[in-house]
Amino acid sequence: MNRMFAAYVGVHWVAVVIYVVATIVNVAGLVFRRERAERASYLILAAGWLVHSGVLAWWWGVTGHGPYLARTEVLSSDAWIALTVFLIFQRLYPRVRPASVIVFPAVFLMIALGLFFDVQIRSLPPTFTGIWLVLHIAFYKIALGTILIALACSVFYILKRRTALPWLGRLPELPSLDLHAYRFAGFGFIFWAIAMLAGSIWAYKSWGRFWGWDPVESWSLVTWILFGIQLHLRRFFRWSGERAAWFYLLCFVFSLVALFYTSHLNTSIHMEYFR
Amino acid sequence: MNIKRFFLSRISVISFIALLLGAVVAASVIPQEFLATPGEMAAWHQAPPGLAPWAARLGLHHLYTTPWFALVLLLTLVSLVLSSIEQCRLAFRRTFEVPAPGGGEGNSPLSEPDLTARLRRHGYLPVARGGGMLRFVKHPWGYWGNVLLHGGMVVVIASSLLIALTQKRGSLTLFEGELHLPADPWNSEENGLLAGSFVLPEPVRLDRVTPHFRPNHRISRIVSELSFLPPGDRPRRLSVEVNAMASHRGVTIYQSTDVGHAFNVEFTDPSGRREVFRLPINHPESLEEAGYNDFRFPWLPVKLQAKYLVDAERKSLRSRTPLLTIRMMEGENEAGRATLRPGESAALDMYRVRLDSVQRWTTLIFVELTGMPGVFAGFFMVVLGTLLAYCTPPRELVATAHGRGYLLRWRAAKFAEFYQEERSRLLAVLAGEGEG
Repeated sequence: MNRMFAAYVGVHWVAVVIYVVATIVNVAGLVFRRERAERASYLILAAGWLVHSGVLAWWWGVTGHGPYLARTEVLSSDAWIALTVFLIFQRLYPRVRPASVIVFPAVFLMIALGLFFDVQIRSLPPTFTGIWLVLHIAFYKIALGTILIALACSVFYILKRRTALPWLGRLPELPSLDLHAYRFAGFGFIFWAIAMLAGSIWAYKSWGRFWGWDPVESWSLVTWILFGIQLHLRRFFRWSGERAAWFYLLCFVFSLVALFYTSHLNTSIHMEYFR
Repeated sequence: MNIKRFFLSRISVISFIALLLGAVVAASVIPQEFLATPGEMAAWHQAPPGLAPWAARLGLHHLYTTPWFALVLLLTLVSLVLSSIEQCRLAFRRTFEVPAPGGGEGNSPLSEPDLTARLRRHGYLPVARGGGMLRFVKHPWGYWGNVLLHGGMVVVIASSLLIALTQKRGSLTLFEGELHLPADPWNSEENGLLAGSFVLPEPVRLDRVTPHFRPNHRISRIVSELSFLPPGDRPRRLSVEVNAMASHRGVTIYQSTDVGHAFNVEFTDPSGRREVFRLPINHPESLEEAGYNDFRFPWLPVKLQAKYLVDAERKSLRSRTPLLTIRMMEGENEAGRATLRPGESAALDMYRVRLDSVQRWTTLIFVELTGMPGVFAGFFMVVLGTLLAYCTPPRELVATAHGRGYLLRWRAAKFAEFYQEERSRLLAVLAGEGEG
């Protein structure tokens, strides 16, 4: 068993190293206007993604459940889905490609952070089964991927407005950054809503209640309402630009609290995951 | 009209949302009576001096049942209803309106049938015509996204309120082979403000509860078989397990994750007086580990600490010979200890104890509520509405008859920059460039 744990950790570190190399090449390509380097970074990243996918699939087979129980599995799968979501969206919306500067480091940092927790094989509690649970978890992770892209667009917007760093010239124009931040915050809002819906159906099937004001539920709702307020301000109060970007940063902080902190509170039913 | 304007004003709407947000945040920070343990509540009352009385005065310990929260919810609901009606009117107008005359940004020499055919190939559907103008829209359903989003929220809130007012919920710990009569009390009961007390329609009996185990001995499934016993009729047998509820005469039954063994122990005191106590203990997590519970009984002046192993031999989780250990505690001191298999007797301090029998127990949750389909239908409307609003923004093309052709005007309802290529391609195709 120890060998398997060592292999799991070792292969993850290989993926982390590849992702770090991809990030360095990517950032260098972006800052020094080397398009070849930027393209090459995606090839390196693809190699890391394959290694990462392989280890997640193998571990799924070993544990008999998806990568969403132990902390290390949760963070690794968060990173994998965030990266996959980014890779899909950068094909659909090429102008969000520079978001790689934030998405790539977020990916390897999440995996590395996860490796500092004990690697364990955990059994799912009896209630933690069913397709609605899988959808519930998967859509929160997808939402994380989209809100990371919106974060990158918002941060770029603020940097571009406030600084004159030469490499920022390679980013899309301010109105375009603003529009992409708006659109991806909207995607995050949608995926977050789907995740909450799936979670409420799962809770209803498990306990006969669709909402219990559990801390995780409450903070998830708070985050969703905040995103709703941000979109509402943009739509009806014509908020845009730096003001909307700063407000988005606040939403992002709340989403981090909802995703990574509240589920570890002892009063939450979600803590069952980590016991 | 002024009231309607108040409820639809941007400031009112954002204020209602902000108030709801503040309430949820406050309820997350301040312990709520229905969630927190008595210990947590007591600790909160002692912690920040001066704050607790204010919290009590404002009802912040049961925030979701305070009149002011109900008022905020009601105001939000009214605003949402009016907004939904307004959005509906707007969506209908946007979908089917005949456009106002305006300038053109392209020309097309095509005839109406050719123009329509080419636009259809690009997903633009004819939705209105009049005054020499034709209007085509790609994704016209996108106009209805906000209607669904707001309407869905109305349905969710209204259904949730209905549930909160009328739901009946009770949990029962049942022991194999034993009957629970409708008049018997619940372990815990939670009823809506307008709901009466919760009474089961018929007596219910737990026939058997079977935990299933993974190879590592953790519980994977818990299956309970129970019978409802209508007087003078045949029993109605049901099976319920975690994530697979069952229904009987409007009552839905859920299996909880609580399961274990109950030990019926006979105590005989020095005077010869006998009493049988039942000691229910949660199932241990593996063969090697014990399940624990503490007990106090009026008949006994001391605390009993009990633990058990599923199998005295530690070989099988399906063993019929669990091993029970009882400690009699006087304060922090152990006054006696006895270890028993079924049928065995031993001395425990000044008492004689005998393990008469062992039976399995589990906790089941019984729920009677109306409105769940509304909650989920509302949630689906919210999700569908946001999907339509953000993923399928309508794009429209207005063709105004001009000479032998048309003047063209294009616009997107949202995110116009993303569709500039589509616009250019479309205008080129309609100008007669290529086959389209």
